[in-house]
Amino acid sequence: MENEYQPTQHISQQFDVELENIKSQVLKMGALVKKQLRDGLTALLDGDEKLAKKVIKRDNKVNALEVKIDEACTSIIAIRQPAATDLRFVLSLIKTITDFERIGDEAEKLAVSTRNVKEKHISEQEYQYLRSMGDMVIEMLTQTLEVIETLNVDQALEVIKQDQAVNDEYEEFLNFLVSRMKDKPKTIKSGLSISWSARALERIGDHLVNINEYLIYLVNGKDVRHIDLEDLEEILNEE
Amino acid sequence: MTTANLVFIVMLIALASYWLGIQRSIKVAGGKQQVKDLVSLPSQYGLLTAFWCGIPAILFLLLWSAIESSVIDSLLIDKVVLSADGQIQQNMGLIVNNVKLLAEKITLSEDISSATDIQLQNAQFFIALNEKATWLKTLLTLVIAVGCVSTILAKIKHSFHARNNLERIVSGLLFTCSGIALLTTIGIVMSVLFESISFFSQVPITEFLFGTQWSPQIAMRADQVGGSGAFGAIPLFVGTILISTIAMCLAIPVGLMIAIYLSQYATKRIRSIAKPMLEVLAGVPTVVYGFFAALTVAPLIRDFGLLIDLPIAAESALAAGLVMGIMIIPFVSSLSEDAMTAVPVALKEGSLGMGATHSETIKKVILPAAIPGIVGAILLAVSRAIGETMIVVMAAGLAANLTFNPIESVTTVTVQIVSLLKGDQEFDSAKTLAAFALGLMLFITTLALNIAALKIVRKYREQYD
Amino acid sequence: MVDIISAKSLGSNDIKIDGAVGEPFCDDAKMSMRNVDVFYGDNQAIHDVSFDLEKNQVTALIGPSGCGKSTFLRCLNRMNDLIPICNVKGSLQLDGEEIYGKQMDPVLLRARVGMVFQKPNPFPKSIYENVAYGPKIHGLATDKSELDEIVETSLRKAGLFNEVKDRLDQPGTGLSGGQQQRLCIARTIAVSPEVILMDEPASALDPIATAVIEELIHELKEKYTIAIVTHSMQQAARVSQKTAYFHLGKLVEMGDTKQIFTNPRHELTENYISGRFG
Repeated sequence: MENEYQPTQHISQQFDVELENIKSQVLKMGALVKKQLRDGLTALLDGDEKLAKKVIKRDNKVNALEVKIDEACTSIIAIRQPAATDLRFVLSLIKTITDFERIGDEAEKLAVSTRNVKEKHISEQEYQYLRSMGDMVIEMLTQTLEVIETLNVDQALEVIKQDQAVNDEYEEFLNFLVSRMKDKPKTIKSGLSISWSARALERIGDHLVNINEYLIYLVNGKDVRHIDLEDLEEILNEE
Repeated sequence: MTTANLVFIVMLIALASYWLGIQRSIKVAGGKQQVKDLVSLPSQYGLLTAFWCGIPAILFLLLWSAIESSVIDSLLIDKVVLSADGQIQQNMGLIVNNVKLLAEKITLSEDISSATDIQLQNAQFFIALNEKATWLKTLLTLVIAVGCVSTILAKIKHSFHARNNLERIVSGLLFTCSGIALLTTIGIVMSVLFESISFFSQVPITEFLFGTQWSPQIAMRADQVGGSGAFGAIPLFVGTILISTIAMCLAIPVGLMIAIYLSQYATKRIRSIAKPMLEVLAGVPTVVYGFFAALTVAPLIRDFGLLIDLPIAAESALAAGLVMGIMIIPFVSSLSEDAMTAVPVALKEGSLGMGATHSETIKKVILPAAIPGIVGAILLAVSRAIGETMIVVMAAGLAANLTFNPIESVTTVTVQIVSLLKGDQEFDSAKTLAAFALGLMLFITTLALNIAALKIVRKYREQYD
Repeated sequence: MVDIISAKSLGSNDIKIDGAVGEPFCDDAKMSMRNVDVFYGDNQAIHDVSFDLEKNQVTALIGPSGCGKSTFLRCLNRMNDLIPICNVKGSLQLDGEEIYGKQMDPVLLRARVGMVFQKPNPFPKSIYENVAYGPKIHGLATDKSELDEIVETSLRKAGLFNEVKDRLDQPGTGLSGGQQQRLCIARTIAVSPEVILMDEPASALDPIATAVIEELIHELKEKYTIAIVTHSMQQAARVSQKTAYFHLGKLVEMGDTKQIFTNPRHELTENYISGRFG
């Protein structure tokens, strides 16, 4: 199985420069999103409203980067008419940045919830649950950025698998919240608010799965969306 | 029936079978509407039938005519031998001829009273044989024609590929035609070659090739002056080369410049006037050039020589060479112009587009690119000059001087061939045979020139295409 | 030569061309053309075209066949002088000098404004002689070593030197099509022109050779101002910074290539580059 994507040089070096440029912009955007996610989570958990404000403000930057990369991709399609790997590269990255932008929005949501959650006081268990989900998602995001850099299909597959743990954690957290809300109806309001944040982290996990699926498409040319994990592994092992 | 009549009849049958073939194919198809179901067109079936009728019959006729007389002769000889005793055998040819003459007299009902009985008998036998042969010929030809037609007609079916068969016949015809040209060439070479060989058996080939004395008159009697004759061809070749060189010295520069002017500089109008005029020059009969050389140019040159105190012969190589040069200018210019016009415009534009002037472009790009054509033109002109006769006969004379001096009188190979063969000649004297040897040498020279031209053209073409 | 039918079928007749839209002019112009009309006899091939060639940029001239783009290109170094019935009106300037002015020597002009043609047309000479041809004519080299140097640097700039350095004495016609075209470019560079005009330089080449030529064009723009006529819109998009769209002898639109190919302003340009006919 050839999972390493080794781009050879184009005759037009300018084209290579343009493609490389897009890639580094995407990585830059990914790094920014990661920072947003980390800061948003910290703000939420620590009740740091100042940091939350920063995160909300910085989301503009993420959006601006998305627009910029979109434009660069459009111009590559218009001017270079990329084919084969180049075409998949451009298409995958165009989609990737959409998901990055969504992740940015989710991070912003975390920051927005800061004030709400702070007023209600976050319990120790809630903190633990959010912390562990957050760490998992941040780890996934870190690895996803590595995959964008290396285009390693095996690693992409790993990230996709990790999402299951995030989902399980989310499920467990929800159950915990629901049972607590049953016991102590007073906590319903804060519980719902917290559940929104957990929901945001779970969504980020889904977005990261999408991105890794795009990257697998980029390397293997196989569309692996909407497929069970086992089937996915089978398909990738076929080669 | 005579052969000519037979051929005519076969043609008629072929014409009829063309129609028959068409009708038959339409019938096979099942009416005019269904003709498109056939694999070939009805007219192709017709043509095929006509060809199949005509070609075998005419081939048979040709074959028959070729062997008829010899078969009849041998039959006649058998008969004569039977009716005569052994001693006659020595004069067999004569007797057979007599019989044939007699037979002719009988058919023309002339006086035959002088003939003996045996001769009459033989003559009657000969006439009967001829009649039989003619009948047989007519019958067989017609049978073959009709037989072939009916075979082909029977073969016409839906799936019969007349078109492909026709194609094969046509290509065969074309092959035959090109074969005729080839065989003729071989025939000419052979006849010249054999006569030359018999010449070289009388005169040693080394003497012919390297001798410097040419006086081919052989004495009728042994005691006549200059009885033996001399066949050294060197003076003739030197004369030929001298005159050709003079001609080329005039024709190449002038012809090339005309070509450059016409192909590169001349406006359309000038070209439309100048080109036909050059072609007229090419069409002037060489005899007329001969007049011009002998009556106008030669005296002019002589007068000019007198002016600068130089004695110039009345018939000088210079006069002949110059006029010949004028004659071959159109050959050089016309072909060179074609070659230059054929140089791709892209090359010309490429050079001009880099800031080269027009004349630089011509000198450095167009002329080199057109070299194959120009070389071809020049070599063609040279072989034309070597083969030219009339101008030299009239302007350069017959004296076989071994000289490179252009103001003396010289002679050329072709002129000598003419003078050796004119008048009544015996074909076994060295004098007459010498003409063939000269012809062979001329042939070899022009062949070598042509091969050289082809090689040069091919070599350059590989480079420039 | 002028195939108007295909051009006519492109735009419906009710789309008006009313002066060029976009940005035909620039501050840093190497050549500027104003109100240029070109006539072939009574037939007007170019109607009132004005634009600039920006210095050290590649400007692509695109448009359907018969739109006059090649005709226009050939006016820029007076190659049209070779056609007696061709008549050029208007102002065409190279660095402020009038190209069709009385003082302008067309032979010298063509050394300053070189041209590369559609079909590779190396001279029937060796590779070396092909490149040395121009410098020899214009006396650019005083001795053999200087000429050698010019030949080598020109071949290097054309990206051909390494492929042919061992066979400089072999005929230029023995090279492959793409190599021949690069030889022609080297030949043009050898006379140190200021502007290089390219008339469909890659239309006779395969895609790889085309890509090599395009990359070469991209590098050449550092030193030269380039105008390229091409039938391939993709090629125009890839190699040029500015694009001019011609239609029926008129300049319809000119602007940054990126803008023309992502967001053309004129309907005809849009139709042409998006492949919509009629």
